[in-house]
Amino acid sequence: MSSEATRVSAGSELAFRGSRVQGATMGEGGGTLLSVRSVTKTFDGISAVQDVSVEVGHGELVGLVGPNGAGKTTLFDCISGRLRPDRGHVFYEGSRIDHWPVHRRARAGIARTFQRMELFEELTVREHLLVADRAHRGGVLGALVHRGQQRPAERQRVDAMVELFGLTEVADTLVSALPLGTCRLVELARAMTCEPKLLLADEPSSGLGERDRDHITAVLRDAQSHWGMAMLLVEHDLAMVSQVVDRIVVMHLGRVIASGDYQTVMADPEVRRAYLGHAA
Amino acid sequence: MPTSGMQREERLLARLAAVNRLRSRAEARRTRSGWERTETGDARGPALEVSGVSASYGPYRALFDVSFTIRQGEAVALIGPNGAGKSTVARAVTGLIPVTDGSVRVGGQEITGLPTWQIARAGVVHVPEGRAIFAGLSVEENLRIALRRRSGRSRTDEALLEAYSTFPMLAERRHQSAGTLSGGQQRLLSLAPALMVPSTVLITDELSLGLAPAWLDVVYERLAEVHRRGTAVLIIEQQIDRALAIADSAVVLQRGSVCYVGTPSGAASVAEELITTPGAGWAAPGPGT
Amino acid sequence: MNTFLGYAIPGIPFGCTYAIVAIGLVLTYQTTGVFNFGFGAQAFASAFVYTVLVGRGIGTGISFVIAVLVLAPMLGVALDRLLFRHIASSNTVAKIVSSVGVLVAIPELLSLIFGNQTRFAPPQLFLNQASVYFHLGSTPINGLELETVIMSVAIVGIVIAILHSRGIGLEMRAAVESRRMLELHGVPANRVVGFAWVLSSTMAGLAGVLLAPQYPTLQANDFAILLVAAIAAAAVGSLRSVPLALAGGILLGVIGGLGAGYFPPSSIWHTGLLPGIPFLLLAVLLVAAPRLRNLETSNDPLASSDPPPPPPITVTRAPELDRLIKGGGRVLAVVAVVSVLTWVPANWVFVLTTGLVFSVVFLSITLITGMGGQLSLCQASFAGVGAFTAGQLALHFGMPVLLGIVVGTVVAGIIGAVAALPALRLRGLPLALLTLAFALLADNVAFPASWIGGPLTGLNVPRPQVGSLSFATESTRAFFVLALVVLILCALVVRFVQRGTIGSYLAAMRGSPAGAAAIGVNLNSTKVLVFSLSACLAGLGGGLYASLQQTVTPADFNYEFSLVFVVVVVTTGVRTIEGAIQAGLGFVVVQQLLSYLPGRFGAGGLAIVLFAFGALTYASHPEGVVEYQKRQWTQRAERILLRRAPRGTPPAMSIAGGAVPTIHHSLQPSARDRVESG
Repeated sequence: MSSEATRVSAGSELAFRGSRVQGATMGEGGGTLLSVRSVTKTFDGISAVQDVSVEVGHGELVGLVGPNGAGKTTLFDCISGRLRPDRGHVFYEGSRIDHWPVHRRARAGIARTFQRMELFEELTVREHLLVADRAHRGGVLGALVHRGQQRPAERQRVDAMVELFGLTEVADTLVSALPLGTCRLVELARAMTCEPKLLLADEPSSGLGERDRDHITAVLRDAQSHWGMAMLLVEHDLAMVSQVVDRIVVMHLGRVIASGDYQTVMADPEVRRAYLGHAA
Repeated sequence: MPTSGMQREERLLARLAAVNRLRSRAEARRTRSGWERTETGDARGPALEVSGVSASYGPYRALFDVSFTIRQGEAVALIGPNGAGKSTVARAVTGLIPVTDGSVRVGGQEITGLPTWQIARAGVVHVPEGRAIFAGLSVEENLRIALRRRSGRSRTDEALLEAYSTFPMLAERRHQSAGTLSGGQQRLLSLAPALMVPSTVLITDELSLGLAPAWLDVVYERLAEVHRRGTAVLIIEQQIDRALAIADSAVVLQRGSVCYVGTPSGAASVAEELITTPGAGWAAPGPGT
Repeated sequence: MNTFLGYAIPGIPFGCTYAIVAIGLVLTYQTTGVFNFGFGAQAFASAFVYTVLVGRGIGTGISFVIAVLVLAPMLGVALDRLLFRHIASSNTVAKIVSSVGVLVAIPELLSLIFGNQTRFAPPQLFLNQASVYFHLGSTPINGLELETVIMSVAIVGIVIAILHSRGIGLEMRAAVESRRMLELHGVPANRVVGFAWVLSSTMAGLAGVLLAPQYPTLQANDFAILLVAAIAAAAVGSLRSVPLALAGGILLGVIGGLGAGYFPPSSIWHTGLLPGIPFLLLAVLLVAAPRLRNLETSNDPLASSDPPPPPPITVTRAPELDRLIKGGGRVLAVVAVVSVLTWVPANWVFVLTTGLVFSVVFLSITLITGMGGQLSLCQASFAGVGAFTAGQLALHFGMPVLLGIVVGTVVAGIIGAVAALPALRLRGLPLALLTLAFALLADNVAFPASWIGGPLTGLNVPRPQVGSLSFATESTRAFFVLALVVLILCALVVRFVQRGTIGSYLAAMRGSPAGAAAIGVNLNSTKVLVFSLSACLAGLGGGLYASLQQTVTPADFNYEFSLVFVVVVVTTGVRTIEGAIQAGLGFVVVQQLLSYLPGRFGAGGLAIVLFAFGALTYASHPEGVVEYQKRQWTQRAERILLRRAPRGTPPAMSIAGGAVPTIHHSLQPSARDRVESG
């Protein structure tokens, strides 16, 4: 099935290349986009995340790595609003967003993908992108009086996304009928439809075969250079991380134990002990 | 990012060296605990025979004609990339998913198509991956339920005490509800009963995942212990070095089919062949190597 | 102090009756994982058989053995084997619908078999009901009270002993979490669960026989009310703790006793608040207690060995057949309307008009359950709000009834929105229970007030009169046209919502609430909107119903109707507008047809039994068993008429690649994923 997924979306890398959205470079290097300050989150007396601080600049690509149970997904949940931190704050574009509900953060430009995918099984690929396009633009009351028919602008945006992610052949297929690799692409495309300034990608290659992995790595890189959004990438596949990110943050047992560029951090003996299990 | 042949060679050598290093370390531990390695000979009968097994999740086929044999007292590593169907093999053996074709025998007895509990009583212990515990029950209740049928009603308390003395962490939390343990502690709780009482076949799925190095040593020592007492072991591991180090032989699975059966070092090189890029689904060497 | 005790002490035995049922619910929930609404019906079944047997002169001992030790366990085995075993891994809505189906079906079935004449309560088991055994302070304690207290204490002891036994009790609790894991430990899980059903059903039978003497006559309704009041007691113990459930029951009894003593008999407190206390308590607990909110979070660590759900049956028809069916449907509809307007007898016109009005109410269920994915058990109450608002406005303010109906629709919508606010954080079972509590609060607190529900004789609601056009009795046909127009408008609104953006939000939320929120869908306001819109439709239907019937009483809108409505719609198809219309017309037409049958079969009970059995198939046919059959027949017709190969193969397979679909193993959410997200 992975071969099918790859074939289906073979065009996407090309589709991206050579086109760079206007203003994509705008934010790069232009200060802090997201700032997580001393966040702690405890479940039943066990702290999943303890006093963690992370900063992400505009357009910056940060890898978040660490062994299972290090608290990476919990940190994502705190940033995206699924969980409220017990202590500490989350700042985004200068404002404190601790009390913002998930949908408000999403509309402000924080998009995410999920480790266990959260797709809408009754909808087709195109409908996924359409509903995302509408949801991040309009409110519920607007939606109530809005007929299902697509406006030309909407259709154009959605078609463009479908094409960019190489999903044209499966655009009108229900996602429940798609192979895993394509589903991951759909989730990514759905997140990008929300025009995020910050993408939280939670193990986008988890469960994928090598070819799908390579493909999604390429898509991630291309998407970033196309739109220029900042990204926090949680990923166990270090090869993928090293290919995508500018800098990595290593978490272990709920704490940040190191951060910096890939080579330096991976040479850190403490990181090797925690993550790789040996100091050699 | 294609790896050149040269690099691959180097990686293979490094991996083989790691396996050998672990093997000698395990050997040393065995000698320490007075455990002489049982001679592997064809005289021993098969403990688990999987022949021509296919299985599916509903309409989706997941295993294709999988065959291998574990002799009594033998340890076999089942390895393969993420998604190759390793856990599915274990589930098909214990009847959690239906076997659509082929047969499974335990100690010569046909168990294909039996309900899971009868397979368990036939002597197959399967520790599934992840947090295979009853989250709503206490630690002690979890242990009790697992030990009761295995060690006999009258000897449950005895086995319970043994478990507590081996894993004092569990004794400290015996009345805590299992769902409130940390991931690693839950993993230990699901493993502990399987490592207390010998059985015909023990299947461990991702034994090392999520375990802190200190516990990992204890767990592997106990595994060696039940193995020494005559249990045939099928070790399913993503992190192959450790599994290959204690295995007598190995099976490599890819995309639901067996692609190699043979010696651990042979399996290591086959595995290396399968890896064309670093991200081919093999995890980084695990904790506690 | 003495007065206080004098009021409080009689409350204790009464509270114990709640407690017995509550403990039964806890036992069932803890050992089978099903929140069994059918418990009340099972208790009633045993009480009923016991009463019948005793009435035929068989001794209480033998009757007890037959009713409680033979019949009740058999019923348990039947429920397990035929129903609940097959839906163990279904979603919550399916489980609730099934157990509601049991609650509705059993009493109707019994009265079909044995006739529905009034039966007086059976004698007590051990003690003499009337004689006073001793005085506590100055309060006399009679046999009935003494027996109830003794039995409830004994039951608490037995249930705690069973639940905490190291053998079967432990295995039963484990089986609720994961049957597969239990089997891996060598325990035959299905037998364990079967035993749990035997046990809890016996408990239900015992409760029934014990509690029957409390009421002057034996009525299923009393048991159903007792059941829902007991849910509040069980909720005190978060549906888990037996001692707390006992405490909750006694607390309710004592509050009731004190209230009855201290509130002046005719005050609003006495008549208005007192009967609603259990439901108020239930609602407060559901909203405030976090443990109740998370009832549905337990998950099987081995759930990933389940096969992925089958792709939905294709709804597409061959274009030729589609044209044929659509054309035929239109012709039929026109013929039907013309017939009604010309030659159909007046009583059938009335029946069909009622069917159209019901269809409007049922569209509200299509909206909230079919599209919103949540079960509401208070739709009849919203209909009541619409009916009473229209009636009172017409009666006291002389408002034209059509305008009154519109105001009633709006009022129902506002109440629906307000009711949705506390329900925002709930879904699944807790939400269903909360809506049930709302329905019972309406029944017990709001509707009995004469300024809402009207006088005891019923609230008179006029037929509409627009200019010279009258919809009065002699021209039911005019009302038929009115109802038809309203129904078409409502169907268009629902279709607009379904196909519009809000419909895609709802589809997204059904698929994944987390995913929907992550793309910017405001889950809360969407929920409020859907609740409110659904309440509007129910209110509109209720107003029309009131005007059609011309007299309505609170009994026309009590919680039982909410349950029956859900059962009916789920049978005919909760996902489609067609389904709601079929439900409305089918419900009344079947009842009318059955009324031509002789004797007891004509009482309308049979119709409910039929639909209840339909609802029991909900787990296997979530699109509705009638809808399912229709699709099957369409496919068959296609094969015969067009001589075409069946198109059963869903597109899933072809895209997954190759002739033999394979699955990527990691598509199954692995347990490891859960470790991370934990």
